[in-house]
Amino acid sequence: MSLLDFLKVPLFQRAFLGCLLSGAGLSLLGLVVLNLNLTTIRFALMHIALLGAAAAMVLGFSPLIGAMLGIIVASLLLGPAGDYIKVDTGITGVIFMTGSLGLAFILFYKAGVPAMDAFALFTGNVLALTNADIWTIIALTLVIFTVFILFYREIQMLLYNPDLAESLGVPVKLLRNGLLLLTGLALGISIRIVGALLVDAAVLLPAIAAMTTSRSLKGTLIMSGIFGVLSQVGGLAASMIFDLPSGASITMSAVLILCITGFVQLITKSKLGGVS
Amino acid sequence: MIGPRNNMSVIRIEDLWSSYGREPVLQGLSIDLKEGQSLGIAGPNGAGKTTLFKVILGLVKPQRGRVIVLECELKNEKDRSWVRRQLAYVPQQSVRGKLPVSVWDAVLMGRWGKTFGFLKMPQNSDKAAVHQALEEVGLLHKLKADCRALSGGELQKVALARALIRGASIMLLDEPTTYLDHRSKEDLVELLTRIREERKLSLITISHDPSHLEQITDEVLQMENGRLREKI
Repeated sequence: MSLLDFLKVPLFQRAFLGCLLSGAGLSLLGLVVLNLNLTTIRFALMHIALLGAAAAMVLGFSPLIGAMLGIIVASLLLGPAGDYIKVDTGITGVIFMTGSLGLAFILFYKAGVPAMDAFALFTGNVLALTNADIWTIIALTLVIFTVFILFYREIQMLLYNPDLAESLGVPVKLLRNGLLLLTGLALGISIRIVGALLVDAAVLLPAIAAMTTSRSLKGTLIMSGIFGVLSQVGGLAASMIFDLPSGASITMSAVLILCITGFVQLITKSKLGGVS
Repeated sequence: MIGPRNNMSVIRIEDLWSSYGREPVLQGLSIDLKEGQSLGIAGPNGAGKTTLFKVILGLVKPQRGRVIVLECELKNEKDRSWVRRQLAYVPQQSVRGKLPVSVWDAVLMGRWGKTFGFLKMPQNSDKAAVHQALEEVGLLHKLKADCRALSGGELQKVALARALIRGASIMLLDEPTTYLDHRSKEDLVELLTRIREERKLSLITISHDPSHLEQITDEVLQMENGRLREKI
């Protein structure tokens, strides 16, 4: 089958649409994770998404919806409640991370979920996206774009220097918690597409590549979206052409893009160094 | 001769107490900054210097005491919000950001909450102000540069330009010369002295090293354990 033949099948159409939208929208939140030092919280949210998906599988509804619900609860606990009870997010992150994974395995064992179904949560399967999943991805992508367009300056100030933003009157805590929730939801969707083990590829790698190639936030957001689409759609196409697992193929595309941008930067810098 | 121009207080702090949890940070502190005066506060890390700035900016509520900025006592969120618009704050620049932000954008941030803000785009007057401020600090040629590629001295000038476009008459500077090499420090001191005179600014500068403060202040106070101990 050629790529065009694949695209005539609804299952593959949904997969491509899912990759296109998540590539364009979700990678923008990688910038938030990288610049607000949310790496520990991101791990916690990923594992809680996994627990939510596991509970959904056991109860017999969509794993994506389960992951989303888990993340909404966790974001509220790690965000506003964390501000209120003043507990170090690093410590709560580790508790959430290990506790949710342990609980997910207990659920799988007690409910007798087949090992391959459970494993699918870790590796992801973009070809298993349902129409409901696609609508969820469309809605979240639209929300992400709207937030970044409407609050561009405020997000820029928060990511650049939270102390400065606060001193100028930007509602830093509200904005940070809102972005934390969106980041969690993006991670939940990425788990469905590339799997829990490779979720960084979808969210972080395009953002890192964009940060190495751009000189302004606007440029970084645009490049992040472009690299996100290239890695997801390109990775999916490569998986079909070369018969590879889709999650791993998307990940390797993102790694390849990051290596190319890093190499180009290195060449450009050494050339500039030679001139000066 | 630069110094206080008259006897009018622009910031008056009376018997200020503040703490983080059970740990007292500010203990009965009083300050009177006159119009045109430049006051330095030296003290070790953890002495409460940055907390003092946060109280003046209305970001930390004191447990006791009065803070009066330009005749407005900080009592509620409305007062704090008004006072924030009257002050220009230059935060500490010890860590270089990872985010690509152009010099233009970094300076424009200073106008947020004044002429543009939530769902309100920057105006032409904001763009003109960015040009003027960058010209004033001698960085107009770096307008499109990425802040990550700037030297420590240039980054501090960007922070100063951002503070200038707020159009405030009071400036709060947190360790402005601490992380700079000797030449950049000399440059910044000269620039601050000129700007202070031209714009008739009142300044409070905090630093852990009193030697950093002598050149840019009229008076240096020593802060220790949340108290102002002695005049140096």
